[in-house]
This record gives sequence, structure tokens and C-alpha cells, in this order.
Amino acid sequence: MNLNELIKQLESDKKFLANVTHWEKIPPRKAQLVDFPSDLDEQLINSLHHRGINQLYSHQLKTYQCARMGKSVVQVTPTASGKTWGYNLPVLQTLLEDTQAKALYLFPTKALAQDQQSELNEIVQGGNLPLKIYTYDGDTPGSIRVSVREQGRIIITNPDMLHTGILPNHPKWIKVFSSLRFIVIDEIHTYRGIFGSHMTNLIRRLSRITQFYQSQPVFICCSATIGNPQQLAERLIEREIELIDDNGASRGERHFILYNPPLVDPVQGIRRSVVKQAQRIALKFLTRGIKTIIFARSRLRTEVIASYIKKSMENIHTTGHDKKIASYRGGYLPNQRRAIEKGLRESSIVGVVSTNALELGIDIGGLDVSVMAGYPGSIASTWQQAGRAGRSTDISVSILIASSSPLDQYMINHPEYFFGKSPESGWIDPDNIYILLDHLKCAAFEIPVSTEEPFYRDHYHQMLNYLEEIGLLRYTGEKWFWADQSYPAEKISLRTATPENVVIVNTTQGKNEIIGEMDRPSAKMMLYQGAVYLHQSEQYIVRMLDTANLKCLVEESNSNYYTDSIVKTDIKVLQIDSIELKSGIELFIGDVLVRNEVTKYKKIKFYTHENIGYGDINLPSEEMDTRAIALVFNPHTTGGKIFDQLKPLHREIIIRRIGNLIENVAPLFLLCDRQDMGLSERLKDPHFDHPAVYIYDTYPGGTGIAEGFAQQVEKILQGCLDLVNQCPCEYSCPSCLGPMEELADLDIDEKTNPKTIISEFMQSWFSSIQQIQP
Amino acid sequence: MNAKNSESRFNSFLKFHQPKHPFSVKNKVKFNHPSWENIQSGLFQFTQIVELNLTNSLQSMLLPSGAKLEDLIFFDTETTGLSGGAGTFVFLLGFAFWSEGNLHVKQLFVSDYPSEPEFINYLSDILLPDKIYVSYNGKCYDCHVLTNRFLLNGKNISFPVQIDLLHHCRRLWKRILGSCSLTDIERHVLNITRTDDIPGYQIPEVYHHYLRTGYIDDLIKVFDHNYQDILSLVLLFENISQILAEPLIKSYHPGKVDQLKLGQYLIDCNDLQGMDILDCAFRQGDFQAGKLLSLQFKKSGQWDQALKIWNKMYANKSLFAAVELAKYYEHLFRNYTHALEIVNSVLNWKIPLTDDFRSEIIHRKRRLLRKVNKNINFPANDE
Repeated sequence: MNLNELIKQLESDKKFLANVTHWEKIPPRKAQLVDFPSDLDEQLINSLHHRGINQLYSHQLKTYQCARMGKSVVQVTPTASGKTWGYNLPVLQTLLEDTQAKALYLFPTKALAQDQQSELNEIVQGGNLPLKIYTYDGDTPGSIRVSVREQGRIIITNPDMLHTGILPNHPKWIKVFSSLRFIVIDEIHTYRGIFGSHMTNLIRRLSRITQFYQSQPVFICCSATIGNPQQLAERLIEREIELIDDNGASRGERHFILYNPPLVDPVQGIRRSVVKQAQRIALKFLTRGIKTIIFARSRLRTEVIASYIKKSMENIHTTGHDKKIASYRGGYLPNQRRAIEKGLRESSIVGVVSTNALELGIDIGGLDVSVMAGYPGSIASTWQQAGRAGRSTDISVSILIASSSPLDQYMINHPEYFFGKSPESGWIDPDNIYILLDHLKCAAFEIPVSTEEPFYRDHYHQMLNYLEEIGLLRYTGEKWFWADQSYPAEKISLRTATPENVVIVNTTQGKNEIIGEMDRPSAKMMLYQGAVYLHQSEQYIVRMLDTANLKCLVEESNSNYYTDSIVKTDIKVLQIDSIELKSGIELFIGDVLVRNEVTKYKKIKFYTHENIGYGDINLPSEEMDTRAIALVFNPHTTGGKIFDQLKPLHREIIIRRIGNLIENVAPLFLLCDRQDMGLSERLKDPHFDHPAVYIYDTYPGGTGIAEGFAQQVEKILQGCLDLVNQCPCEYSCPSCLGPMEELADLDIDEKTNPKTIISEFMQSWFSSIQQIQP
Repeated sequence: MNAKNSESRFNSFLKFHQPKHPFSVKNKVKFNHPSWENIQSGLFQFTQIVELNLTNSLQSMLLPSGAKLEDLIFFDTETTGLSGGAGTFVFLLGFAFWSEGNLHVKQLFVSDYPSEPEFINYLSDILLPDKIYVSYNGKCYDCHVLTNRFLLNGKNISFPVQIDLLHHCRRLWKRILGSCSLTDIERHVLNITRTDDIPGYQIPEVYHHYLRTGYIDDLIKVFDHNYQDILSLVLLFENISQILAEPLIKSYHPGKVDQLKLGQYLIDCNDLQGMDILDCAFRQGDFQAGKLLSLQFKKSGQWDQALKIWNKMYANKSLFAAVELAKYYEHLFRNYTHALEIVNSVLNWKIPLTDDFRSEIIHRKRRLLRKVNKNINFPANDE
């Protein structure tokens, strides 16, 4: 049975349809094909023919023409639209015409860089092009680094390497920088929030250096689905940029199905487990040999779903029984990951269960079905994961299976919200003082900063003066020189994630074999002593985790349960720097310790998911010092007093919901990403003894989120009130106060409507302030 | 974003980040010292002529063929940081050259950043590409930093021929000393002990401190340190040249020079004295030397000499010697029985063998067994 027939069958399957809340048919689209541009090099045409390409999609030609005219572009097209040709064509053409010309490619991860390297290798080898292409990252062996700098025509790297390795050593890269014609930045939607603000400053530094060597590169950016690609790209590269978003690639008919698992316990609102539903639905396709990807929300779930599917495939006589099922996530060894990607491209693997690791543009060929086990968390991610299914002409299916969580339930029951809302936008704040100061240090190290820098305008003077006062810069001869013995880029990380990885060693029967790796904070949550570690559906039991030496010893095992840890996050105030009475409440700014602790784990039986016991975990907690602001409703303040006079139920609803509201509003004012800030709401805070809402920075040491919040607190709170009043939903939705909680909110009526309660509270709070401050 | 907004953001940042001990910002430093000549704006030079007897250096084996002592430039830099990169400046360059029978030592000091262009200009007339550059770790550090500085000032520089004495010192003394820092080499080889020396890692901070305060006492120590580095380079060059010229004299003091590496080096240079040194080391029990020496004999067909060494080493359970002997008896002497005896005894030695080695030796044993049975029909001497 092929996919077409299967869809027909599902459409008349009453049992299946009973759980479908929405079935959207997206009609097929015809390809807009155009001829190769007339100036295209013969060798390049050969290479294209070699790969079976005889015409271009219209958007590819448009990107080509813009880039060749020297206009910077951002290309926004979905997966499988041949976006890499969009930038590879103009780059390769220019490199063939001008034997000195160079290009720099930036990818957010090493894996994507390697993917691009192998694709370019095929193009170059296929067409016998005389171009050398190198990847330059932390894994590049010292012996070939000189060749990369001396001979590389395309250098593929990542922002972190550009930041710590390339820019601070730019004289070594003189050959590249002095004839740099193109800078390609792929996956720009990942450069949001603090990471994006770092990225803009990195581009500023890069531009200073290309200016120093008198080259004027053209930027070609690519983005996945995002609300504001052009705006984001312009903020990132601080140049005018042409948006190319009319996709010329063809696409077959697509079915988008929202599926809500049946209730098992209508009283408690518990639904059938998303894990087993995903298994059952995926099997419908896999047993018929239809290529399917299943996205799970965590690494653990990925492994559990994969092992269920593998087990079922063993028992069923299937047409695809010779085909393999794989799991895919971060933490596998690179060659294992490459093997899975290859297996998918060559169709020796028919099904893959993955975390969002496969959401990004890694080339895994065309798939027919995408099953999302749980709402991926954002509309942009959902489209990205759904888009993994669908080739140029064939029919495809994307199924979103909801979990019992409020957000999932909201999405699944409000398809008009999901299909009507444009994807999230990316905000960045390149002039964030913390980030700017860090990059000013690096910039001064690279080339002394003068008063005539295009990027460092008048008001940067005082920042430079500040750096001089703390002894890092020296102002002399009308320039600021780096005046410290350190290497500034080394101490500045562009990302929150720690680079430390725990190595997982299989020690079964005296073996000593590395099977994978995991970042330290996650290791504490997944590799504690006694944990069952699943790797490619193989079971291991953890014998020892040594977080100091970043080593974990495991042994093969065969238990009937898996384990899941219980993580506790708590915040401790370390030091208060300022207390301010603003907006009628108290604002505290200071240092806090955010502690993530795992103390216990559950043993969960496979298949039944019964809880069959607990174990203790003895590991040092994962700690981060950062900056926070606390909004404290002290009854002695006007705002606090109004809060204090409310009914207890209303107080509870407000505290429970206000965090969500702030999370939805603050990023717009702070120009950060949601993930850059953490929230914690307490009805009675142990430190302040009053109701409090904490907003803290998720970058260690802080990046100004707390201070920025304090500065704009009136605007942000007003924004919160406006959002509640303007949001078209009835009681609450993910865009304002958060999703409705199925049960807790069942008996909501006009009297307990959270929107009314919060709106009324905020209005009386704000008007009380205006009375005091005429 | 407008300037005002950014300023207020900065002020709110400052509220929490006031520098605790702000440096009093003195933008102009004045360097002044009687022994230093101000040759250009902000650029100072110190010159000294030293009488030295460099007999061995004149004909040094370290010199490339056809080169003269006068072609050499001994040099060492002091920098504003230790990690390299575009923000690491050279503030002091010491160099020495040989002219009219005397050693001329010069130091150039950049008294503040803006004088760098003059410094680089001045240097481009001195650091010429046809010179031979002698340094200590210059290949990996000083040359890179200087190249960066030249490029950043829009000039090119190259160091086509370099003699990095660190590499020679590592060869001759690494196994004996462990560390090959210039101070350790000075103490061990040149009998120089520095007093009141400033350690290298502190030097960048001394310069930064001087720029902030104008304080020059520590700076003088840096000048002395650099001066001593240059002198040591010259003396070390002379010393190594002497060891290479008369290896037998020096090498009779075991512990002073690594005889194995010296012998190896000389053999690489086709100097037969290397054989004597290896022989001497072998007599003192260095089997590595024996291995090297025997392979030299093997190469030149001096089997008697080689056999003597192998037998002595074989008696001490050397796997290398056993294999060489087995090869010799199998392929040259065609005494399969004897070869087999050797192979069997290796397997009975009860010393741990690597998997590769074990399978190699078993392979050899099987072949020998076949040959023994075929040729002489002698009963196999199985374990």
C-alpha cells in the first residue's frame, strides 16, 4: 500500500478520525523553473548536469543575480528547495572567474559545516573545479591549518571559531581577508536574542577587518521560517538587504493532521501517552515501508520511542523488514551520526526518531511522513519539523500529536490559532552594553579602535573610556590600543552552553570503548549512577559518573525499566545591588545563584510506564551565578497594597499567570529571546517575605536583562496590560497568559476569568501610581 | 538607537560596574635613560660591542653550507602578551650580529604604541631576507609575532633561513633535563646563573605598568633580561658548534649531553664520529644506542659488528635483537634451526608482547617450521 492509499484509508478510519482535531490539506505547488544564467561557467554547468540539474528554481536565479550584482540578500525558503545552490552558484561562479577571490561560510554548528563541506566536495569533484574548500573549526588538525589559510578558496567555519580563532589572528588570514568576496551566513534564524546580539558584534568586527584589508564582501544569508527574516538579517549584518522569499520549488500535496490522543482518565484529564501514540502512528507508515521521521521532545523520549518501534518492527512481518530504524540526537559520535544521515539519504534507513537535532538543515534526503510527538514549542519549529516530510512531487503527511500539557492541548484544540499565526520573530540587541563591551575588547585587540570607526559612533567614547579606566585599553595617538596581556576572545563565550563534554565509556567485560558524549549539565540529568542509558536503543546501566574528570562508565544491561530524573531549580539571592521604588512596587537588582539539582530518579517500566521505584542521586548541583531583577509586591508600596487586598484565589491566579505574560512581552522590549531569560514566581518569597516575580539572565554573569528590565519596567508592564486587553482569546491563550490548563480552568466563568482579574488588578495598580505622581 | 538612549543605558550599567580601582589615566609617558639613544620619535636604541672568541662558531656545522658567521642575526623579542594574535605587540627587540671580529648587540625599544610604524620601518632595513636568523623558539613565536606586526603595518617580511636553537637543545638535552627553558640550558650547559632576573611571564605586565605609570625600574630589568637572552644565544651557538665539531671530547662526560641523540644527529649529517659516540653510549648500557648502531652496521654490511651487538642485547632479552638475529639466521645464514630456537626462546621469555608483535613472531615461527621440515627434515622443536 502506498502513502496515497494509506491516506485514503485514514480518511475513512473512524477510530483515527475521532482523535483528529484538524486535517489541513495544503495543495501542491508547481515548480517555477528558469534557465541557467547566461554568464554561468561551462565547468559549473557540467557539474550541475552531473547532479541531474538542468534548470534552476526562480528563487535560486534571483539570489544569483542579486549576489552577482553585489547586493546582499537573505533567502527564505523551506527545506528541499535547493537553498544551498542559491549561495553556492554565485560564489563558485565568482571564484572561477577571479582566481584570487575567496568566500567565508558560517554555520551555527560543526555538523552543518561538515554537511556543507561534503556537498561542496561533490560539486567540485563532479565538475572538476579547480577550487579548494576547507572546514576550519576546533577539529581541524594543526597540520592542515596553514593550507586552509594559504590555499582555501571557500572556508567553512562557525561563529565561535571566527570569534576566538580567526579574527584575533587576522594577519595570518591576510590572503583570505584581502580578497574576500562573499560571506555566507546560513540558518540565520538561530541567531536570535543574546546569541544574535553577539553575532551582530562579531559581524561588526569581521567588517572592520575586511575594511582594513580593503575588501568589500557581499553577504548571502539564509533563513528557515521566521516572522521577520529581513529585519533580523538587517540587524545582523547592519546593511540593506534584499529579501528573496518567493519559493520556486515544487511541492507535492501535503496533509497536516492535528491528533489528540484519547482520554484515559477524563476526570484527571490524562490522555494516552504521546510516546505510545507516536509509536502506533509511525508504525502505520513504517510497516508499509514509507519513510518516516519522528520528532521527540527530549533525548530520553527519542530513545524510548525508537526502541518501541524497533521492537514492534521485529515482530511484524513487514514489507520493510530489511530496512532499519535509527535514533538520532546530540551526543552520538560524529561518525555514527554521519552513518545515519547517509543511511537516510540512501534509504537503507526507513525510519528515524530524532530530537530537534534534525530540524536544522542537515541533508537527509526526502522523507514522506513527519510525526511530531508533542508540540515542538514554537510555531517556527513546528513548520520546520513538518517540512522535513515532502519531496518535490510526492504527497506527504505531517502529524502533530499532542501531549497532555496545557500548551499542547491549547494548540491542538485551536487549529485556527496555529494555522493563522505567523511564526515567531527573532529579536536582537546589538547595542547591549555587556555584549558590546566584550566585543569592543576583542575589536581593540584586533585593530586599535579609532574615533572614526563606522561602527563605534560618538557615544561609544564613554565605553572606551571605561575600558581604559579599568586598564584594558590605552588611549594614545587618537586610538585605543589593547593594553593587557590577555587574549580577550578566550574569555568571552557566544553561547550559554558549556563546552565541557562527558565521555561515555562502555566497560562491559573489560571493554573500554567510547560510545558517546554528553554536555555536563545534561549528564547530571541522564547519566547518574544507576541510570539506564539508552543509546541507539541499546541499554546500558551507569556504573559511575565522574563529573570532575568528565567520564562516565556504563555497562550493557537488560532491564525492564528506564529511568528519568527529577530536576529542581531554585534561586538564591546572593547580593542585592540596588533597591528601587518604581511603578509602585519594589525592584531589587542583584546577583543570584540559579541552582539545578537532581536528587532523585524514577524507574519507569517499559510499555506500561508504571512507576516502579525511586533511586537517590548524589551529584553536585549545576550552579550559575547570574543577574536578576525581582518585582516585589511589598504591601507597604502602592502596587503591593492593591495586590494584598485581593482575594487569595485572585492573588494565586495573578502570580501563576503573570510570569507567562511577562515572558510574552519582555523579549520585545529587551530585544532578547525567550530562552535568554528565566522566570520564577512566588506567592511568598522566602527572601523578601512577600509575593515576588524574579526575572533572571540565563547567561552566566548576566547580559543586562535584569538592568534593562528595570529601566523599562513601566513600558513592559504597560505592554503586559495592553496585551491582556487586546488579545482576542476568551480567557487565556499561549500568546498572553499562557495556555488554559484543562482541568484547573474547567470551571472558569466571568468571575474567575484570569484575563479580567489580571487586567483589573493592573489597571487599579497603575492608576494608583498616577495619583501619587502627578 | 539614538545616542541619548545608549548613554542612559551605559549610565545604568555603570551604576553596578564602577571600576573599583580606576587607573589614573596618564596618556603620555616619557621614556628617558642615559644609555638609550632616541633614534626616532618614541623609538630608542641601546648598542654594545662585545669582544668574544667564537672560534667554533666560525666553522659551525649549524651553519648552512656556504654561509658565514657574518650572515647571522641572533634575535629575541619581548611582547605585550604571551598568546600571540593581532593584539600582541613587540615592544622590545634585541639582536646581535658579528662584524669585524666583534659582536654587536643592539636593542630597540618602542616607548609607546604609536611609535610602532617607525619601529617597523627601521627594522625593515635590518631584518633582510638574505640573513640567517638564530633564535630560541623563534620559529614558533617571535617570527610569527614579527610577521603579524609587519603585515599590520602594510609591510612584508620573511625569515627564509632560521636556526632555532630550542630544537637543537631539545635534541641534545631534553632526555637529561626534562625542561629546555633557556634558563635551564644556561645553568646546565653554559654555567650561567641569572640573579635578579625577571621571569618571562611577568614581562608583558611590566610594560603595561610602565605605560600606565611611567615607572621604569622593572623595565630596566626586562632590558637586562633580553640582553642576557641575546648573549646566551650567541654563547649557546658557540657551545653547540663545539660539541658538534668535537663530539668525542664532550660526550665522554655522561650526563652532560644526550649521546644517543648526538650520535644520531651526527650520523644524519654523515659524520662518522656519530658511530663512536653511539658505541660509547651502548657500552654504558644504552640499548637504544645499540639498536641504532647495529642498524648502521647492518646497512653497511658489517655483519660481524652488528651480530656482536645483537648477541649482547639478545642475552638481555631484547626483542629487537631477537628479531634481527632470527632474520639474520633465516635469510642470510640460512640456519633455520637456530632461527627457530631464537623465536621459541622469545615466546618463552614471558614478557608482555603487543598483539601485532606476537602475531608477527608466530607468523615467522610457522614459516621457519615449514622451512626446517622441508630442508633438513629435522624434527620440529615444538613447545
